[in-house]
Amino acid sequence: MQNKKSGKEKNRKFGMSINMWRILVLVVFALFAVGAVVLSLMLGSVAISWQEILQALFGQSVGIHDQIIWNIRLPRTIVASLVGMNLSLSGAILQAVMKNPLADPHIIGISSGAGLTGVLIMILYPHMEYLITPAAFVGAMGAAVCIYILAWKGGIRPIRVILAGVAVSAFLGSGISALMIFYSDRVSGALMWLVGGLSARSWPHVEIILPYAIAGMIFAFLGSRQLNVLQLGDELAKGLGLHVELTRIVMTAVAALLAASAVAVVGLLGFVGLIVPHAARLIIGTDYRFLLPAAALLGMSVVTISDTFARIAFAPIELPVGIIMAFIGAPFFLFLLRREL
Amino acid sequence: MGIMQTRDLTIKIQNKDILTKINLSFLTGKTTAIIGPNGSGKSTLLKALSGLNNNITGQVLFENKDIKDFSKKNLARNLAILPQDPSVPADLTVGELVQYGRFPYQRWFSRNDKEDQQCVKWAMQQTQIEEFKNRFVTTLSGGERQRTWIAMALAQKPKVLLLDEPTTYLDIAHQLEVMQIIDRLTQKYNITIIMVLHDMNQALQYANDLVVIKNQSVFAQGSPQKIVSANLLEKVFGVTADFFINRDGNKVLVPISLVK
Repeated sequence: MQNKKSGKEKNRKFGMSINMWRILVLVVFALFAVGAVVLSLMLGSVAISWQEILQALFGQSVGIHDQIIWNIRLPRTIVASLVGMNLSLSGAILQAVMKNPLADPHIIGISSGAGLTGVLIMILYPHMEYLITPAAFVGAMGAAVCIYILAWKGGIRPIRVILAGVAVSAFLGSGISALMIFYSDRVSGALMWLVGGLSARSWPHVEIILPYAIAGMIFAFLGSRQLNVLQLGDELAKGLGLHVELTRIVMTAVAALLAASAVAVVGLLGFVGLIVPHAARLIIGTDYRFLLPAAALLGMSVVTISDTFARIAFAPIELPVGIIMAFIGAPFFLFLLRREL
Repeated sequence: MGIMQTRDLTIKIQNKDILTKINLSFLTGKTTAIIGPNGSGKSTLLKALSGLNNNITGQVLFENKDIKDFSKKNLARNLAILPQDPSVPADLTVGELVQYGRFPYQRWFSRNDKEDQQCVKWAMQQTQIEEFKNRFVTTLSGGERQRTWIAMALAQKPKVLLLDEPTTYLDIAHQLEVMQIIDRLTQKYNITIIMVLHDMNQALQYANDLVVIKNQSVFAQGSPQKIVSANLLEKVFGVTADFFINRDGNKVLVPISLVK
């Protein structure tokens, strides 16, 4: 990439070249994510040692703990990791595509769309609870497509998408509010879901989110160079031969699928898609070849750790992970922001 | 035959005529300056030449082929455009930015190969920015930054380089630097330069060919030393000027007053 010799290297961090620094950050984030997963498996109402976890994962029986690991903690941890990764990748992609630091899955209607259809099922058809996830997914994608169509005028302009997103979200949000007011006796379940939580998430949820997570991740990483070029502005990107409109459409669709699958499984987790990509960017920089994996790993860690904390902090009561995340994450983000600026 | 031509090029933006029936030919390996009053459509013309503007009627030809028939990447290997005042991420280094110029040559998984590296090196040498290739672009002075952008465009190995007011916002030394780089590119590497300029004296000094745009159409085209005259300045800009001859025997002008 860069020749190491020559030149005044004003961009060195702690005596390293910038790429060394980025790789180091990725390694640290990866260790962090692994640590988060292990902690999430160990901690809970029953403490399990990491030796037991290793044994259980590699097929040796450790008695009753087997059941806890395989049926409860492992799937839940996987869901938490994938949700974190998806939302955070989605946010990172959208921030590049929309060239707006405030872009997140919310902006393309994912939250309001999933929110409305999810709450609709929960409140009007509570006996069909199994429909919540598919309905939320359909709602999220429906809202995203709707915003796209409304914003289309011989091409996609970020500002039009954002404004259409605000309008559609407000429209759908009024539907959510109306439902909750008309059926105020049934809102408690819906409220939990609107904040986002991971309780009782298990293998079926893993199956729902996994294909989108894998496909989305591959597409995101394949698009990292295109996203980089997009940072230079539309004109220059076009001048370099990038199909700007197509890149926008494809990458927005990838972001929508990533976020919709996550939201469908855990409800409306707000914080991850907006803040985590920014935190990753503050630490690793704007090069999407590094930023995307960093955001993915950080998203995994943040959601997994927050969920662990949500389970054990006030045991036996479980808090929705969304509350914990915003409560701890927002101050931490502000700390990063102050340090950088 | 010039390397690029326009045939009845007409551009409307929101039903307003910006350019009507422009027929131009641009000389291969020479510097052409486009000049005209503010809002006369100079930048629009430059964008149309680069293929950035799709809403055109008529044709833009590159080597006698309509640029609409080029793939985007293929076009980017032949034509490089430098917009006015482009944006750049805060932590992008000069070297990385120049490497983006190789984007039209790279495929999904192709990393920086030998040829890419050579082109990047060559581009940085031409613009004399090698010494700060590891600095962030945002930390550079205006002149250094402009040279970095030119290097990125050069890394595309274009036959035609389109520049939108490359010397605006620069002090006179940096203006001179940029114009000398441009001069060398045409003379040594036969790259065709088409640029929008504001400074009439720069056009007189450095351009081989001058296109004057006025009222959505071409007012005049030709050697700047021949066509720039008191009459032209009065009709196009509404300005009277004094002309002098400099030490190279070229015309230089000083605007004197507005014609009412």
